[in-house]
Amino acid sequence: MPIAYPYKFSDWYGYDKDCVGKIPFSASINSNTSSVCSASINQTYYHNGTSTPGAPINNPVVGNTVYSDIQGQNKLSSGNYGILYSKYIVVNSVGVVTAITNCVTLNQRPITATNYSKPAFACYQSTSSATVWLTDSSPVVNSTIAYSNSTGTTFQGVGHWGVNVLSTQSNYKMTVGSNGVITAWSAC
Amino acid sequence: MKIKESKIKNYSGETFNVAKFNGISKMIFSNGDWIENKEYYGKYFFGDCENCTKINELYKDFTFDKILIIGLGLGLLPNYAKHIKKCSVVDVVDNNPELISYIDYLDDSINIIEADAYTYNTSNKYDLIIFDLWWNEKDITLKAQQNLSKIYKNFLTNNGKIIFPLINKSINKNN
Repeated sequence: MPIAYPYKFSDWYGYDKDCVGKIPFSASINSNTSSVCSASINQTYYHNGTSTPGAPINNPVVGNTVYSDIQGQNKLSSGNYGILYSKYIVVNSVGVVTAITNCVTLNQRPITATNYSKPAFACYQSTSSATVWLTDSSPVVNSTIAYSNSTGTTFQGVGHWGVNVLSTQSNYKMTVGSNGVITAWSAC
Repeated sequence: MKIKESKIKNYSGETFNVAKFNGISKMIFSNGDWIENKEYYGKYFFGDCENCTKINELYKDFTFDKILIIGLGLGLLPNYAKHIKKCSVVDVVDNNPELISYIDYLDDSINIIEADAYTYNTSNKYDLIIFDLWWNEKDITLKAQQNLSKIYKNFLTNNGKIIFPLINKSINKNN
């Protein structure tokens, strides 16, 4: 029945003032494990986790419930869904994310212990026991993601870092932006 | 050489802030660029760093006594020039009066001049002119290098040189 002004008390029947919209994220359709990593990320789903203010991407984390609608009334069916940053989520029979798996093998490299104010400084620092994990063996600017852990769940911090410094391998200076995206990569 | 931490005060201003993180002073400008009080800053700019062959090469067989530094920052470069390189003349140009007012802990013989790098003029002559105006190499455009070199070559002694440390480039008076 259409609602007309002035509103009547009966117009508010069924209104849930506590209803909170879910967080949107981009994903693929449900796919099997052999094809999920190549599936197009062309769907918008929703999760009940938190969003990062200003973040363009709000991937779910393990434990979130995922839905096909923003109201959270329809849970995703069990299976595998590709998500951004070359990962896929595994969803169980009650719509809960039970695992997040990398689609690519992360490449491990030694990195400076701290970041530096200017890229040039990052080149000539002492080697450290710190490690970075990259989604490409030959990083591509604005595409490769840098993680600070081997499982690829924590992005490398923003700033200028030295990679392979003082090792026998070629040395590089790397700039990391938000969400671990490498925004500059060049030889020392 | 870094600056004695006890000399650097915490500060909150219009164009920059200074605060200590794990006991190390960090100057953060309003655009997010920052400088920390660490040893490597002076070592890198003066080619004293280990394994930095490109910048080492710029200083090979080159001696200097009178130096002009363009860009003040925390004062790490003039401090290094005075106390490690033992330069008899250390002049610094910066266009930020708030920064110049804040840096009150350098040796009295270091002369800080408020001026714009692109319009500065002097009759003084220097053996070495170092530019510390940028954070990223890509910001040091060829045009900026050419414009600045044209001005600052006039301030060089006969064997003097201009150095752009971030891009490992030097320019002699006669080239």
